[in-house]
Amino acid sequence: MSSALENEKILQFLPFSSVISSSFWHKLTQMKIDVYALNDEPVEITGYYTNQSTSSRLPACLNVDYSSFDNPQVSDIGSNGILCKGLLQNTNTLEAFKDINKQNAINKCGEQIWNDILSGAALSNPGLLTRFLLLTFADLKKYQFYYWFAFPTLVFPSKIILNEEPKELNKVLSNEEILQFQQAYDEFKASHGQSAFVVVKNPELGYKCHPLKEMVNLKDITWIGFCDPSSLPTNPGWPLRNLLALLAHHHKEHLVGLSVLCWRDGVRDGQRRVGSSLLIEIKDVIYPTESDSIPKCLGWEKNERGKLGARMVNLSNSMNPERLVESAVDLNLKLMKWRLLPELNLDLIQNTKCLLLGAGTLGCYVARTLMAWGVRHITFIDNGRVSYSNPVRQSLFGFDNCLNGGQPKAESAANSLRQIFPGMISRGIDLRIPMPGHYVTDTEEVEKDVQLLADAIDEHDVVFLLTDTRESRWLPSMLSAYRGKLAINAALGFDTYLVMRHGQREPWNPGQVQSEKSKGVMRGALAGRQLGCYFCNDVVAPGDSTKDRTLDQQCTVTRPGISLIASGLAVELMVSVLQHPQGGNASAEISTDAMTTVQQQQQQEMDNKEAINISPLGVVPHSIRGFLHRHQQVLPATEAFFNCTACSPLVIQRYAEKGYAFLAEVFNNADVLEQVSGLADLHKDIASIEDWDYPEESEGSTD
Amino acid sequence: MGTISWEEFVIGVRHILSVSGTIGDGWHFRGSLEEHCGGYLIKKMDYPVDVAEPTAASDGTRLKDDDDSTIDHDSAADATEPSDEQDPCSIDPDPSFRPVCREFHVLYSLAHAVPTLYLRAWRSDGSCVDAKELWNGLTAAEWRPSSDEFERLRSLTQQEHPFLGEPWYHLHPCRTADLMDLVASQNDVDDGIDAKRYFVRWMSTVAPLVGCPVSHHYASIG
Repeated sequence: MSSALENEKILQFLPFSSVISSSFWHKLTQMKIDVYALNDEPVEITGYYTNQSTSSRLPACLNVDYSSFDNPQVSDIGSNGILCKGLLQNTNTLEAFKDINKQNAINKCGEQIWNDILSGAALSNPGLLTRFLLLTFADLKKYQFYYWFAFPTLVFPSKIILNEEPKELNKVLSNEEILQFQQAYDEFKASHGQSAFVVVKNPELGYKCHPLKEMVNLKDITWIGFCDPSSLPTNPGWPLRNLLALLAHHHKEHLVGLSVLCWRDGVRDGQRRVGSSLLIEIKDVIYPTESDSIPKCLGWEKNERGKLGARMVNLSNSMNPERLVESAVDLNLKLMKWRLLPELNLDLIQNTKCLLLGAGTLGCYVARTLMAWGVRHITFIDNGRVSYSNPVRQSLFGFDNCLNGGQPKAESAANSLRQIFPGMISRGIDLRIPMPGHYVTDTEEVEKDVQLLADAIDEHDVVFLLTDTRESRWLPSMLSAYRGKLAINAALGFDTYLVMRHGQREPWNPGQVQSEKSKGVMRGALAGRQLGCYFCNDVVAPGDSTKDRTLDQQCTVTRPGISLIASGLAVELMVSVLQHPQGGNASAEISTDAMTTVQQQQQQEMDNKEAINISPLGVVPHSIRGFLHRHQQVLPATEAFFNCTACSPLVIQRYAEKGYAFLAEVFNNADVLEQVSGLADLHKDIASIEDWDYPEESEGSTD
Repeated sequence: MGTISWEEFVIGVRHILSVSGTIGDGWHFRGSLEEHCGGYLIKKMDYPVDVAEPTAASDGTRLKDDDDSTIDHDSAADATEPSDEQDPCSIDPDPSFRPVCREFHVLYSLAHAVPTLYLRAWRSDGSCVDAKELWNGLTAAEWRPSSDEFERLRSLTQQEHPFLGEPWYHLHPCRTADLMDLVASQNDVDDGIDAKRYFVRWMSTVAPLVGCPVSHHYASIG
């Protein structure tokens, strides 16, 4: 207002602020692909605004949404919506977007408005005065949208001078008068539905609203009214500017001294509020000095930094399918947390890195179940290739993966995970796990493999033992114990399965060797660190795979459903451990009722607050042994064996001291393990006991 | 049993529309009430959000000032750009608030036989407000219940909008029937469920949780 003389108030208008519904961008994307293709000619769209702002902090919003492309009716946008015409120009490149001559574009629109004023069309339909332009460039690869709105307004008259600040309606009229006018307006709205009108107050008949085109026949005009999108206490909205241009052309004589009603028709707390409508009295009007045939036009919207410029919005969060699937996966798991298990820590699961040794039947199902729990980091280790017999049992492979000699299984499974869910961070390592008793010919190669495996175990939090032989589990079992990782083991028989967690202790630390001998605990619970590993129950070293020892070890011939059951249990066991307040040290009941549901468990928990053996998901067993032929499952827990060939301090200490040299010995001769672990001595002891104690039975029952 | 048929849903919708028509709070219907599951109730609301709020600053999708991908008008250098001369007759909108729009849709869930509330909120550039911000920023503090039951009730799921095919949030309908059983049994155990009452009860229980006020006018059922 620097140019204003003293005592002179220039009327200032509040421009529209663009509001784009996210659905507008969805629809634009669809139209670009299906309809516009490379056509970048301007197309007509429809926007809307209202004169029922709920807050004076809100700008005067001009909205576009999904209905903008379909020629909407007032009924589509709510009863107080006012439709306005717009032109959308969607360019094919960012350069084209930048190169559009913005001044020409808005001038062209201004010319159209001016022609509607000259022809009188705008008198019959004042809606023609409020138009907008929208330039867009849609970068559909990055889901970035560049856009710039213009709300063209004619600078004619160039200035409106006021006597005094605009007044609020409820300070000028009584409540009764306001109600009377409200009725008159509602009648007008119902019959004409126009956004600008002439108000005449007859001393006897009260208020009446007339359409603008009748103005020429009316005497004693009280106000010119328009639906005002502004909610500011002193400033009218943008539509008044072109309305005044219309009046200045057709009814110049009325303009000085004219009263304008800025009609604001809102609802708050279920009540209609019109009192903040403004009355503006025009004292004087200044016209442009240049005598151009068409008045100057302006109205490009300023960006969020208050500068004339385009805006950009990145919608990859709501439009990029990869982001969408990620949030859908998360939300699905959150439902479980919200509805059933508020204590569930989903982040902990999501951040757990899982190493799967074996990408066969068990590996595939375990990976799928981990993925369903929201685990994002999965690495497979396998040295096989996908063969024709695999895909029907191994759920991450298809026929194509078997062709041309078959793809490497580890890598193929890792790729498959990312195809199922792009949010996965999966990797395959083609590696043969060195085994005790399998004579090493290429020492360098095997040493490298050991290092690779040790590094992989180091980088992950949980190690799943899912290979098809018993002896291939020895090295990872030993390394997991050495590094203090949680190891979950699943092994199958023909119709039996074993799923177990290895006792989890701190990473090996020579200063703190816990060489506890078995205490022979037979009742109560065992802490996680006291629990045994897969090899603890064995009294011979792994290495001899020619003889079947137990059903568990006949891995390749199994009832097909068994692997799903065992894989599911393996993952659920891991999740239960993770959710337990003590994690891997969660204690396991030596005997537990296996038939407990979550609900019963919660009830028990209520009954017994001291039930420390329970995670939010229930008990955390040491091992789960199932027998399908009787559909039976038991949950035995066993103590770590002091002479275990995999997890005993004696073996680990030897590895810690001698490293690969010790392993090389073991690979070449499994008997070394029995000597180191003390099993050999035990064998001798047992032999002497047998000789001494049971001389008569020695001939009888032998298996 | 806390559920309603589509026909009862329509009775409820008609009640909302007729009351909304008199008080002007903006509910309207898109689609067809005659066709089975043929449309949905809509209400749109704009809210000012303080730009200084941390939620606005932490929003990763917004442009940084030094992002060279923005196109600022470089003063008079380019003739194709609009003239930057001051317009003495316009006033800039208050930059300390930005509008956030919320749109509420009430759909009939055929699977659960209950009304379902869908909602979405976006900033003026069309970027969506995520569920967390939706709860934190937009639910009026007095409506923020702290008890577990409400936390669960308020669980928002992202779901493809059945009519629009876009991702929307919705209050999952699987607990609605239980909830309506509770609400209904307080007053009229033997009354049967009057469709209008059911609808108004449902709306006034659920909608305010997500910041959609429901006028007391709806409660006067003739």
